[in-house]
Amino acid sequence: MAEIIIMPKLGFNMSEGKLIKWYKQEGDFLKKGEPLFCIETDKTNIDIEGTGDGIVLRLLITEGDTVPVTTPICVVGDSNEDVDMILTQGKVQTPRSQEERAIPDPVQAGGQPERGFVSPELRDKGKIKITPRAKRVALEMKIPVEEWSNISGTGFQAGICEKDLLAYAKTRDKKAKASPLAKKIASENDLDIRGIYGSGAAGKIMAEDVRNALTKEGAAQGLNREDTEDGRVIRESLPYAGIRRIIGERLSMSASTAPHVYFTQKVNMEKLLNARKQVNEASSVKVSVTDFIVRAVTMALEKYPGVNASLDGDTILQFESVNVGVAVAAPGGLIVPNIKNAEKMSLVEIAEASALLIDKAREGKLLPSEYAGGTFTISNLGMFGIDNFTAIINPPEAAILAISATKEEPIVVVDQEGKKDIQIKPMMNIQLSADHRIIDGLLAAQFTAEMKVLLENPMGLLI
Amino acid sequence: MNVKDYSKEKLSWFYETMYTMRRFEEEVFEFYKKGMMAGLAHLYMGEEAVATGICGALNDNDYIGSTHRGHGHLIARGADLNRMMAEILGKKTGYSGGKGGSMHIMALDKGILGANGIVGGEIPIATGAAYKAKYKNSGQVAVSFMGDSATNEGTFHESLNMAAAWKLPCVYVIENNLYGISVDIRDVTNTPDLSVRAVSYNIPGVTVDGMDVLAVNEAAQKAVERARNGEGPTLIECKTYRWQGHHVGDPAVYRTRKSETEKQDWMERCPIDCFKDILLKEKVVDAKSLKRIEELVEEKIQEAVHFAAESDYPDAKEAYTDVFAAE
Amino acid sequence: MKEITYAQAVCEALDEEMARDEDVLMIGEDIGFIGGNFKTTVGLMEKYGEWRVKDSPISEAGIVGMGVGMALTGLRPVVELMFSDFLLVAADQVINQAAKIRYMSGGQATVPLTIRCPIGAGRSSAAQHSQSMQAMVAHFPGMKVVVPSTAQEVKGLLKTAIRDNDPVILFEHKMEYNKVYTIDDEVEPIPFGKARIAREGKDITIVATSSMVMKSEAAAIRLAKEGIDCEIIDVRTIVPFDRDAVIKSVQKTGKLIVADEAHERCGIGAEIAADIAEEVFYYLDAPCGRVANPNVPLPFSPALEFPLIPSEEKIYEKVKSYFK
Repeated sequence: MAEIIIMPKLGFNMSEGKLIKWYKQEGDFLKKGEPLFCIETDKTNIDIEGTGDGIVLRLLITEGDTVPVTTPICVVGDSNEDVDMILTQGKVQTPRSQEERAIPDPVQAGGQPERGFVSPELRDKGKIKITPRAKRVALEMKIPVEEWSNISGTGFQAGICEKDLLAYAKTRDKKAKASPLAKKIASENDLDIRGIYGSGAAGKIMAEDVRNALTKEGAAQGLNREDTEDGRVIRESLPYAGIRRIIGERLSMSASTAPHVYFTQKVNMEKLLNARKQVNEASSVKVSVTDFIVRAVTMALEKYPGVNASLDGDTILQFESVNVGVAVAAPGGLIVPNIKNAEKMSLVEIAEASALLIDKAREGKLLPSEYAGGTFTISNLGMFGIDNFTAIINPPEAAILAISATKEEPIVVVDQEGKKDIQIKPMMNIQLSADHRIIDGLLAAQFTAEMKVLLENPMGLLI
Repeated sequence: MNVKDYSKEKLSWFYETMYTMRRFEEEVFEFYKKGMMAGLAHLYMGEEAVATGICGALNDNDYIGSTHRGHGHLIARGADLNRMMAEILGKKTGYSGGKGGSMHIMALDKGILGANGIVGGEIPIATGAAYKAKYKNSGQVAVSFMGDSATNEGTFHESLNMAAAWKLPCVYVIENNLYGISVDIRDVTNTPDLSVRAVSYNIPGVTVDGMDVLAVNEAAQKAVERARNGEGPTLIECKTYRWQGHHVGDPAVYRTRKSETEKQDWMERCPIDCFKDILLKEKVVDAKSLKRIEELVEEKIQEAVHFAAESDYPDAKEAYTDVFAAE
Repeated sequence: MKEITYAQAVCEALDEEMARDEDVLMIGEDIGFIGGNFKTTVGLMEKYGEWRVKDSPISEAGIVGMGVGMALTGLRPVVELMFSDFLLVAADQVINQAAKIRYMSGGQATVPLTIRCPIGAGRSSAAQHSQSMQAMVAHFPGMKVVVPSTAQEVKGLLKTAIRDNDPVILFEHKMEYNKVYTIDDEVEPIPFGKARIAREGKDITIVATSSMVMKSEAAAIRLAKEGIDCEIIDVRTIVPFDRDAVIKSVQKTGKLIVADEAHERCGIGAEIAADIAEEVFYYLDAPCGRVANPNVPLPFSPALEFPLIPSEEKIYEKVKSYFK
């Protein structure tokens, strides 16, 4: 009975073997236990012995061939056997057919869960420390999230624990005196009466108050007031929360902690506007004025790296990366996506990158990584016709450049001979706000002056 | 002892047992070469006379402790070939439902305390079984198989010491095949004959030719009788050799360090072939009977091969069962 | 009720189990003639004979291995290791053999082996004789791990250990051996996997092992005077672990501390805190805490050793820190 000899798998990682030598030729007699062939594995050469007596009927590969393991390489049997038939049948017949009985693949381990990116600007902002237990109790008692900042915490790391919540709830309850009709309306509409402003005596909640709460947009959870006590009639009250609150808190912090100094320059935009026109005729990518300004900023920051910095505790970090942010009006408020590593980009590349980011910003689709990590910000309100304005530095950056409108103005122009003349030129104000803890007056002045030079010589920006 | 001192049945059993071991191991190797066997197996080819000779001196209710090279011991004690082969392939019909594999086959109904993956790990366990036999006065004997290298593990010394001190009915069998993976025992031990270690425990130590099944059996009979009589343990060293490397796929390049022809020299003394020659020469079993034995063995082997190949793998959730006994 | 030392309670459990079942036998160092290094086997050799209460040579791996062999062949051996530290000498037989044989045999084998050894510091026995190994062995599947607290508890749990068909390691506390306790005249086997509420309370849950239960109780008395009401859970068995008892308690109190005498790193406290945290996350009013040994080996001098041992004082301080 003939036997098909295969390329043996002799190691866990062995997937193919190279035949070094046949010890027998076709027609030779093979005794069980005699070496039949020698193969090369990654470690060494191994002789493989015959497993039964017989004649070597056919060698299917030659010395030097490399084949996958378990490939038939030889047929040994009696001299009168039909090798071709054996080979064809062998694929069908062997009871231990490899495909069906191979060792199952090890189970693929589940992938690691994605770790969410937390923008350093959003992290720690508006965060309230409250224990899971207290949170659960709060929800059960329908004390809404907006009220949690009213609760003082005595728990772990001064967080709010259950005890604090229960104490707060008691005081809340004290306030929640309401008329029976008010209570009825509130419960019919699944409204927590304790959150509603009471206009009756001693703050008692009247039916009218509940109805008002129901009709105000977004006021179902929150605070609702009618007139203030000093004669100002309220048109609408909105929660100071979310992005608005975050922006407010950040800018308050920036304005109050960073000593701002301001430097203004008037820039003659004639050459730049021409250059822009020519570039946009030649290029499929449309370049805006702001793009030119970004390029100029990048070059100016490379010259004055002290401005591309951030104060981190006791350290002033100066950055290699010039990540220039451009303030964009987005739904919900101002957002500043930044172009990463603008120092490595040409004007056109900057234009492409900024177009992408601005679109995303306007659609509210920016990723945290796109608005985090900026090192300098440009705020351009020129399109609103503003003559001049002062911007608040975007923390943790060291400076911000405010760009105002380009307007035709008469200026004094001096020609080569020194003759003075008054001409009408398109002039634009740029104003740098700098954090005096990081940037002193001289540096800020130099930077601003450099900006003027770069913008008035736009050919340099095209390189 | 002379071959003529044995009955035809006994001699036939010796031949059949050794032949079964050889064919079984060859088929295990085939599975491995075809990539159908996970992990590794440690083949007994060449050492058949040891397990056969020793186990041929035991009663059905005696105990044996085995090693990672344990297929031979299990076959000699009559373990089920189908369930052995299935276990080696990791199928659910194996002795352990696929949980143990080649190195951890246990068949307690045959007194097989288990193959063991830790060198020297089984020796105290077999000694504990011997303690039980003495404690219960059951007349049972425990045989502890081990390799040459296991005699350098602490547990060897601890076990022999206690068995000797308390005269436990134990027989310690060293299968000296010269190598612990690639390390030659002669390079790491100062006693060319390991049986000499018996002196430390004041028990008899004998060295026998591990390729001669009758020589092994003779030594085993003496040791077993001594144990059953309450005289204590014996250390038997069998000089033998493994045809294959330490495990399947081991090219065994270390063999030729002391002698170019080491493997071939030993293979010329094949226990099965030499035994067959003697049986025929002394005319105690005829060629036809031997051929019949070989055919019967081949049937059983092929049955085991098919059984194992066609059995299913266990369900993944079986991994969580059998950690503890049901209360 | 009767007064008895913890060591005598151990001895009584062994005596009663050997009287009940002739397959129960013991092997260990110095357990025979002198009745044990900690006097836990006094009188047993005289009563049951030297084959049943066997003085062994100093061969920890050998005797645990023999215990496995005896258990596999139908006996119910109790192996004594003189200090839990010596589990490391016998580690292969404990962890690779005893714990795994049932599993590797696909359920054919049963290993009704009991290993007893003492844990704990406080006798200036220094680094190699003062360790507590419960976390190390609990880590490996296949072994039951018992940490009795009082004398009554050790007697009841040891009986269950001997009758259990699986390998069990029972940790006695060496500082308890000479303490006198009042126990019931008849002590029934205490089931595994069922913790004991040693003290009911509503402010904080203290999960404690071994003698830390008694230290927690002492701390609780002080704390009660200051208006802090502690609930103390005596774990009894780390494997199998009574998760439900702890979950129920933490749902009530919102705070969890685990008191276990062993190094803090990768210890029982770490395991319980992580395991339970998922179940009780929304009930937690504070993070889970631990009272344990610092991560240094145990020193010899009492001036160095005593301050390291987790004490009643340390439990008191830890609980207080949750109630500022």
